[in-house]
Amino acid sequence: VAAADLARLRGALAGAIVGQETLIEQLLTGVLAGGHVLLEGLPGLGKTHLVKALAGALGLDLARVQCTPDLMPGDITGSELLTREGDGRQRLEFRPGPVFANLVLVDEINRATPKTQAALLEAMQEGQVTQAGQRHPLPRPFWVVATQNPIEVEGTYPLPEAQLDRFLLKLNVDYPDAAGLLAMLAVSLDEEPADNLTQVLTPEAVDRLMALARCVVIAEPLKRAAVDLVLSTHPGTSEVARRFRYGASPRALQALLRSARVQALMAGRAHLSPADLTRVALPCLRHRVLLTIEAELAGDRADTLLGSIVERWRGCL
Amino acid sequence: VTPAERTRLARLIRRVRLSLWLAALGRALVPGVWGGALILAAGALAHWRLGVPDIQVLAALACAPALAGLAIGLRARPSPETAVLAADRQAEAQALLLSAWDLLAGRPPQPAGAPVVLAQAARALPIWERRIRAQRPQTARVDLWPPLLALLAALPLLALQPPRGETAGTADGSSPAVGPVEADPAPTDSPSLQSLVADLRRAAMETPPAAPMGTEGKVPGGQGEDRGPSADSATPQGLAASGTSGTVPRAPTTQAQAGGADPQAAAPAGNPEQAEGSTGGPFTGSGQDVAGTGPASAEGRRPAGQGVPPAPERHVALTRQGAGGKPQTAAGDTLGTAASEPVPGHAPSRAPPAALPQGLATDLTAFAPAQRRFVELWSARMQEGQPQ
Repeated sequence: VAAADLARLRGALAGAIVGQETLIEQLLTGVLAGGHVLLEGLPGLGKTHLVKALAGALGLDLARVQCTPDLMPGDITGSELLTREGDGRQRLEFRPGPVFANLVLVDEINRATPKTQAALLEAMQEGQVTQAGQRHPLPRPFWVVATQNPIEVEGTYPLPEAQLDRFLLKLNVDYPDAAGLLAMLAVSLDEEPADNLTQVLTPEAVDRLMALARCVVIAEPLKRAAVDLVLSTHPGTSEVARRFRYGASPRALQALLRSARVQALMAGRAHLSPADLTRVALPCLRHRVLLTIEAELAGDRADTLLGSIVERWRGCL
Repeated sequence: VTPAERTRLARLIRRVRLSLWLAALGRALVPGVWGGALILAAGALAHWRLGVPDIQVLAALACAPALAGLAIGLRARPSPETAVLAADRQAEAQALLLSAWDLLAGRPPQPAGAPVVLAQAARALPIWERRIRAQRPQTARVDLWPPLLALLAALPLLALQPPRGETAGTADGSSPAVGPVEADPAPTDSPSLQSLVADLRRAAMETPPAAPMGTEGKVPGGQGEDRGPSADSATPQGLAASGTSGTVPRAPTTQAQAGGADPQAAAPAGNPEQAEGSTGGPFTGSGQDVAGTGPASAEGRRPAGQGVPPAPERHVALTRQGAGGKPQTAAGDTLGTAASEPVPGHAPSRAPPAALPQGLATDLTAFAPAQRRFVELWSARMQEGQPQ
């Protein structure tokens, strides 16, 4: 049943966003693992449409925040407004912001100021918002899907490492090939399929899928292998890792195994395999390592270095 | 998972573990066995040519690398987890075998998906057995057989006692019974048998009939003088011996034995007679003529002064012995010493058929057996008066 549900969900998203099957699978992995996802890609590649299609397919409440430098934290988390009641008394009432939704799309998150970005920290990590000393829990399930443009860096505020670490996966949105572009024309020339997407799964079904993902068996050797992979990103462990200033955090290990469990579930398995770990290694690790200045000046990319580390790690399995 | 399936899974993993162990053993043995075979080959060659090393030492040296490889291989027994990983890979189980084994190991807490995984593993078990059986390497390491067989053949040599003939002596101190050594190589500085025969024949042709030597002290020459090395190569020791004995040494000396002695250097020791200045010496000019005309004249080797004229019979014998081409300086010394022994009485006109001189007899031990027999035969014929 779970495999069938997942297949239907993937099919619906693939019909809305053409030529991005890998991206769809990875986004579903992050969502079903209960994590937040950072999408990075050039404008016009369908990032926003993908998130809208996901919300429509899952029947989730979607909120969208377009980040600008003058965006205030209260614009995201909500604020207290002075209201007048029927008897004429005035009082402060908390008006929830757009973060109070099941799925929050934060567009161009790197255009928001660090103060606004930090406002998302508590929401993403704790699942709550504190306003005037009062805690306001966020609805469940809760996901943040943020997008950012890697090209336009002027007037942007790169996310700090602590903020980046909160994202379970960082997905690169690649340019579709010619066949994908042609297929896109057939479905989205005059209208946006994401706007008309019907619900495929109920929120209960989504909860069940997430629970099933937590039931996937992870053998002890694979847990040790995951630990080895995370540790191999630390500087000093290898010649390649020497180009990293900081390696992946323990949260990366959790993200690795949680994402791999969903991958196993999507493959119809109740157990984890090394291939699952390999598939999610780059999305889990690429935003959790920091290159040295020398490596950046030399033009090294985290994906390339991590790719060689993963390749060697696979050889040791 | 039933107990039977659990047993089958355990047996499958044991089989894979054993095959992994054997493979590791083979990998560890390859360099050791080949190294041992190389040592064995080199040692056997050395033993054949030089007689060293001892066969037991050789066997131990050859077996040592293989035994070391064997020890390393035995210690390289894979862990159960390694065996499970390999079995999973061989069975293409995509970590299902690994997960099932991990669950059966009973590490709590069991995840909720454990029953599903075990059920899937039980269904896939026959397929895994087939795949692993199919992937098991069927080919033996044929490349290991030749060196391994050579080493196994060398192994019993370790248990053998060395033969008695190889020991230096027996317990009671007597010499070990050693048969005739026919294959002993001739000394490199001794003349070959063919040259020896040629010398003998030449000496027989050129040597005048045994003439009595007068008391005037003429020194008869011989072919040996011509053959002999020049005075440059005469050893001071030999000249000294000759000088004291008053005889002319017939033994040629090699350059190596001469030690670079020149006539001037030899003169004080042997007091050689200079040809132009020998007026009052025991040697006359005729003696010089008889002594030979070769470039290596015998002036430097002729002792002067206190030289005692040799006894005639000694002279004849020595002449013929000298014609025999005694190759060693030691032989020459021996001859000189023998000749210097005082012999009472006058010399007969012919050399009496006598046995080998004692000095020569003892000196024959320096010859190879074949040469020794040849000289003995020659001596016997000379005594019988037969021509060469």
